[in-house]
Amino acid sequence: MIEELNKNFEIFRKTYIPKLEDEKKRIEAFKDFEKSGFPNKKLEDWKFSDFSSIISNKIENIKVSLERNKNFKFENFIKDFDHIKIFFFNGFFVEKGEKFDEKKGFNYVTPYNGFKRNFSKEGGFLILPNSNNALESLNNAFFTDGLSIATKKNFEFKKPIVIYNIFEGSKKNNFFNNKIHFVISENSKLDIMIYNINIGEEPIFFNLKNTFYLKKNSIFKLYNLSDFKKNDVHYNFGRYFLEENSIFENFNNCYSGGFSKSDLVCSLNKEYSSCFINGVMLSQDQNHHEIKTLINHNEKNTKSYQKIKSVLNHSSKGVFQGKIKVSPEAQKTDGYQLSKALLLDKNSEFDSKPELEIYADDVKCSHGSTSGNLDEEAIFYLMSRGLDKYEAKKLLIKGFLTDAIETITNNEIKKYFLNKLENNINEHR
Amino acid sequence: MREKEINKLKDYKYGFTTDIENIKAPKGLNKEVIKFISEAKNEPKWMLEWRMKAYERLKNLKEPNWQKPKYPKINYQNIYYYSAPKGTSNKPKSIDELDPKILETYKKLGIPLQEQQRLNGIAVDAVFDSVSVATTFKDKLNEVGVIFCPISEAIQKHPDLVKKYLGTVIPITDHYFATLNSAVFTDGSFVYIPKGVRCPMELSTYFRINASQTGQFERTLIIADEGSYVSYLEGCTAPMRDENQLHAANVELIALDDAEIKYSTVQNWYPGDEDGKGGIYNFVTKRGLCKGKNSKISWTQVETGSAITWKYPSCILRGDNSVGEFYSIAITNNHQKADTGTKMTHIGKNTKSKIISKGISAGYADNTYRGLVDINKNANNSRNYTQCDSLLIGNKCGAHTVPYIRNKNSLTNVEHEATTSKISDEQLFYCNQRGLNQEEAVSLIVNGFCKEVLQQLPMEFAVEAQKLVSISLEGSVG
Repeated sequence: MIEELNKNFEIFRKTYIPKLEDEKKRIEAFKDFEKSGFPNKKLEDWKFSDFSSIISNKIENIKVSLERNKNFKFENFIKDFDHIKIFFFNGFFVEKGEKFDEKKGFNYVTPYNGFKRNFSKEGGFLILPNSNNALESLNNAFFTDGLSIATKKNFEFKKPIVIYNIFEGSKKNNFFNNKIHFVISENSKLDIMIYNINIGEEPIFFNLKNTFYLKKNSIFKLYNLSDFKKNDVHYNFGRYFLEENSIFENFNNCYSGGFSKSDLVCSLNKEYSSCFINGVMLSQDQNHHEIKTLINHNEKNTKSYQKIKSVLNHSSKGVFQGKIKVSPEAQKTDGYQLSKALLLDKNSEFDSKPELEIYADDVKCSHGSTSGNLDEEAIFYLMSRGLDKYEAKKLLIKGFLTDAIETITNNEIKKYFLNKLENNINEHR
Repeated sequence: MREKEINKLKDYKYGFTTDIENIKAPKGLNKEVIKFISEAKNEPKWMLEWRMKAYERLKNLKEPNWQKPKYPKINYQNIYYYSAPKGTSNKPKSIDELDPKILETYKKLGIPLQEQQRLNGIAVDAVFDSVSVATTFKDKLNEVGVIFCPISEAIQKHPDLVKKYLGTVIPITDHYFATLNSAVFTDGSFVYIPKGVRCPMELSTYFRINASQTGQFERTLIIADEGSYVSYLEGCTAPMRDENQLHAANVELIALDDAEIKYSTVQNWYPGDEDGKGGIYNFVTKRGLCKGKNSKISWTQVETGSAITWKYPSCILRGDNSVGEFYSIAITNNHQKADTGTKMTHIGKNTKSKIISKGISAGYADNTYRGLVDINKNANNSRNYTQCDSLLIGNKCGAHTVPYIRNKNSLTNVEHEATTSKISDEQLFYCNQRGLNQEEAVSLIVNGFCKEVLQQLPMEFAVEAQKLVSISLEGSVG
């Protein structure tokens, strides 16, 4: 597969018109990738998810083509709440969404597409760091488009932004690489939802890298949702840098897709910053979902909170790898991590690795991880009150997962996600 | 304070050496040395072949490098693989014939072998460098049919048992250090408890590294036949030296139907000086197999010594209804590093495991709990409970928790929790107020923190362990 990719890369470089200032970086990145290949389970980070075998099982051959569908039509956006819409179709920005207007609170918005501005100065969007993460290298080599936004200072967004990543892959075009890069300026407040949807029938591989800088006193909420098909593969690599007194809230929904992994690295770099990373998994049909977090507590008085709830059924697999790392400077750290999983059938599997790495003594860190089945007595209780077994189970699963969704602080989005959960549970047999 | 600390540490009570003549194998690791060891032990041919097989395999293996504590490369050619006090190389003799210097050594260590002959207490197998020098209470144990002897003797006298079980839990194709041990192991204890016998006394082995530049590679094999019970203790010390010495032991436990093995360790190898110079590398493979139904294996360990401790006493719960337990205290001070934990592999139905781990780090030390709970597909109704608590004293040390949990069965319950904390000023103040000084207060609080594990130790050991806990932390506060 990698040889094929190599050929693809050559064509990609020739046909992709806007050139990077430093085109060599792309080549270097691809070489880095070639050296390591797709990650396999020998790597500690991929211990429970052998990516190289997953990708070859799901997708025959990954191919990149730059053909763009001019007749893009998409009406199926969220109607439940008012929001700013941004569209990407097959990895390219589409100018059908919101017109960006500086009055609206953006300092700059630069869809990468077309190089309308020299935005490499602005926040380093185009700086491609060398990476020992093979999939990030791959993203560096192949990325086609993305979005770089800085908000205005002291601006509070009234509406959330929803970034729709819409895909309709084909055998020739099933591999998409995007980058999202945001700077949440001082005292500003912004909610974002990234919504990935595959409307086609062909399986795709979506490799997303997102980077967010949270400046002093900012509040930023990021929600992830995907509507993927059975063989789709999604890798989401997120890096978040928090400054003084900033708050970061993240919620991940894993309902669909053949394989998805959210690899989140959150660095609490200044005092009083805090992050909340929560998520639910409701996996079925041999889905394989993974949430991996690394929280770096680099300064004193920082706080992190994680709660992941998973329900696994129909030979699916769930993985949670979470790590709280407390550096020697980070006294008075408060770190909390909880992962709970329900295994509903014989062939499902839940693996977890909740890790603590602590170098400071005045800290409060704890983690818990459980996995097991539904409580038979609770089912009996509900059945004795007239529910049938299926209804009873559904109610318990709903209650179990709602616990995590309740942590969402944006009420409109919480409501929307609760509805989504309801629908997903109803489909869940 | 600093000076006091240094003086205290110089007081590693067991840091003396015994001056006795040694017989050593030539330095280095090669076929000749393995042959030398095998010949010195008067081993049958099959044993030598077994060792050679391990040696061949070793050539293709690499040292593992995933662990947290890093150490300088070990030159395996610069180690004596066999060192025995003169006069014991043939056969362990009766205690009266032992070199008085060795007896003196054991007396200093607090294990007066002769006295124990008379007093009713614990049967001890004393291992000095590479050979077992004395085993007490043999006759008494013989009466009930318990075999407790050096493994070198067992190879000759009970070859059937050894052949049947040796290497069944830790195969010679295992990781680097286990394979190295299989090739060059020198001595260790062998225990066989026959059907239905409850071993009348605690069995114990005391390991002592004496000679310089030697590695100790002991191998212990304990077999508990149907319905039997045994409690086994292990203690270790070594002289103070500037060099790092390697200790790579293999311990295999096998519990058949309804049998129970309780294995306790108080490990107090020389930890190195306060700058982290010298000390023992304790790279040990310990694994127990609950082969039969309703069997139980329980590991208890108090790890206070060694420059680097790297061991994971594990249980393979193959028999239905079998139980595995792991209780651990790991204390690291100064530049010590410990990476320890357990593996619980649930294969049989209704299997249960419990893990209680307490890590305490002070000074510049790093303490890691690393564990695996693996629930296989057919392990219906199995249950695991894990609790790891870490205590940090000072802000130059680290405490880490790396649990791996794999659950492939929906009818199980797996729970894991971990906390990290420090001794709070309020707790210290409360103790001070009641007349305890700082060190006594810390010792009291730490002992309370460890109580759950200390309770599991047999009485004689519990007292020693409690003292060790206090001594290991002296000078770390204030």
